[in-house]
Amino acid sequence: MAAAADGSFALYQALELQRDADASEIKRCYRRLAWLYHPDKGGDPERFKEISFAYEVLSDPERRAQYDAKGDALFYSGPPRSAEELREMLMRQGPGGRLRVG
Amino acid sequence: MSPSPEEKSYAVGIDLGTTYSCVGVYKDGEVQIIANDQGNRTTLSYVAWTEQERLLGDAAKNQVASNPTNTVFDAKRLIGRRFDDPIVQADLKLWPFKVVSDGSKDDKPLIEVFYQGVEKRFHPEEISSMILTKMKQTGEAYLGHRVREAVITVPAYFNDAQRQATKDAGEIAGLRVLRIVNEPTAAAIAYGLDKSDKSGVAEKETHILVFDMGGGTFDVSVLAIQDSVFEVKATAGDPHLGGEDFDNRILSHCIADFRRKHQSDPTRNQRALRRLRTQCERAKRLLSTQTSVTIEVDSLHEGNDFSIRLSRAKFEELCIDYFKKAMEPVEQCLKDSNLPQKAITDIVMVGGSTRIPKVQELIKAFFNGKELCKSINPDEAVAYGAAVQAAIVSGQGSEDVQNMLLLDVAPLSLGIETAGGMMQVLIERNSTVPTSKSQDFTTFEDYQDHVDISVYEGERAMVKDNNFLGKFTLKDIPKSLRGVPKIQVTFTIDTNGILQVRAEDAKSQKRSEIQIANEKGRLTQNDIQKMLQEAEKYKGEDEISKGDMLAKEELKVYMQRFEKGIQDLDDTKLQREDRERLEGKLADAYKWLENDGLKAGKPEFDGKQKELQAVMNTVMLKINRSQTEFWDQQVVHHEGEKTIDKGGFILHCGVDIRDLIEDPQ
Repeated sequence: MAAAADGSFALYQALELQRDADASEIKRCYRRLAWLYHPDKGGDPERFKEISFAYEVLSDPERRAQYDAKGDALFYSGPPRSAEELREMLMRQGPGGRLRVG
Repeated sequence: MSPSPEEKSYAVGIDLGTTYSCVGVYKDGEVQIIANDQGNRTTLSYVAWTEQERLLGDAAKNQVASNPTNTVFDAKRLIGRRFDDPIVQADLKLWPFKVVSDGSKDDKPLIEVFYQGVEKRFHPEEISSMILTKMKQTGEAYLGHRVREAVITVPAYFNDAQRQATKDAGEIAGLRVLRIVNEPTAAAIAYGLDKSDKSGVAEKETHILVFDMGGGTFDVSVLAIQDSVFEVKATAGDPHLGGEDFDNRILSHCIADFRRKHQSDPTRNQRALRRLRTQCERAKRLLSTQTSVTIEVDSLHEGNDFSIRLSRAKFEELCIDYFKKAMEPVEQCLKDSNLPQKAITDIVMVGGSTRIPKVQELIKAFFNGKELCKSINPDEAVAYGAAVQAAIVSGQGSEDVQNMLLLDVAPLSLGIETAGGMMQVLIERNSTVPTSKSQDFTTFEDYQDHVDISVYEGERAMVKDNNFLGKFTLKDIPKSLRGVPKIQVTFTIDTNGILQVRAEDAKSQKRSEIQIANEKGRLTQNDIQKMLQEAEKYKGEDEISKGDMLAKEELKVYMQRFEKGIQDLDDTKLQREDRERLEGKLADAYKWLENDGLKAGKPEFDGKQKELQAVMNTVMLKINRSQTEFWDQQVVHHEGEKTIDKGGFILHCGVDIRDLIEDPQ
């Protein structure tokens, strides 16, 4: 993730998009970047996963609206300490429940 | 990955089908679908063991009626499944070969055959590996190079275990499996290339639906295609629906009819069943082009002949529930892709069963009468796409191909069991791969020092309704009150669609992980090594019997030429006594072939051929001496037709005598 510092809308940055990008722009940027970063093209799988996660959220109008309202904070409880931590938080989903023994 | 300069190696694409397999290679800027040694572009997915040898492909099917219990097919319907799987239990009843459990806790199925008087047991992976070996050899025979790498296709709806088992089968066949690709996705590549050849690369986004119904499996995928990026939007299907199910329906219909007519039951007579099944399959194929057909088998059971007239309408009636069932995944897939029906620009039909008129009719009706795309070959499209993908992944192929990108998805949701037996999904179905997702979990009880992570795939809310994939334990969690520990679980799916799961306690940073497929009945690396060695052993045996067969074929071809040679020489050139001598020798050879030829090996066949050659040589030399002048003139007259080197002779039929005689010594 390029910029964690201001970091409020990292998913747009991941797709190299402005926040007012329309649906077709989002799609176009995703495909261009997917082409560059897909492991089949010798890209970094982690970077690819980040791009597809951003696309997953931003291409879904409902999820995009939620994200637009809260920014990256939608995905974390406390502020991240580093770019890596932010990346990790973004890919993480909310609390998942309790695990038993046996 | 790149071939060493001294030995060029190609990566092939293999469509490993339930009933037929097909191999293609991307070479000199285009895909070649490779014909096998019988001249067929698809090879039957059959393996058989006779008294003498192992037979692969078409040769195995050819002797199935006389050797039903040792002729194995449908390995794809077993691969990656447990023996107690209800689907396996149902299939068992219809297979003439024997399947048993390995008796382990994984309850793996084993196929049992008799070979050279000894009972042998094989994993489905091994059977599949033998078919892959056959496809590999087919590729090698065509390319004249070793084939070491392959892209193998699987039904999009194959689960994790089935994918991993298919990959293992490739390894046992001595192949490096570059990629496991979904069949409808591969077909879409074939479609996309076909389209761009005709109309240039489409800049506008198009959406296609691939309807892939083969011998044993059924898939539907919706893809978006734009600027050589192929993005799978959604996929759905039934990993156990295809042409064989329709054959079975016809078969049951015939058996019921036979019982009624003759008051006897052929179901325990494997040979009868096999013969009848072959005719049922044939009838099904014919009913795609004609409206009725007669199924006939002489002396089917207890001396009774069998004959029945089957109309297309009756066939449709027998299978209509299957056909209708096939429309459900179509609906599901459209829904999952968030596309309205009218957004689909083309419906691409792949797999042999899409030739069935009723299937076409139903899907056409579903899309309000839209015409179906039939421009690509339904039998070869998947191997075609796999060959292209092999070129992409191995860095071969033209710029066009290198520009293509496939974005495929995981077909099933993946998650873990949480308290109360609930399924907590981490990766939703139709997520683009590769992907990673993680989620934090915590403990259920106070002072709980370890957690069990049970992994499932499927769409149901309760794990008991989903498919269990594997389980592992994260130990030594620092003791604290329930709800306090933070356990991060991460799911990662690679480009083959194969899953890895990791759990980590945030505080202690203790970790535990599994490659899921390793856990659930998967062959261990050790098993694979053992099977690989076993396969190598077979290769030796195969080579020997292949050498025998080749020598026999060569002899037969020579005898045909010999015969034609005699016919083509008229009496002015060939003296009567010589003709009789040659004909006598030939007749002897035919007789020998029929009797001794059955158990002869390469040395005997070669010897016989030498014998014939020697006689022919003598006669030819005799003719040459008297005819040299004449033939020299012929060469001048026929210069445009056939050029020959000095010392060669042309018969007036245009046959080069050098074909008939050995090098003069």
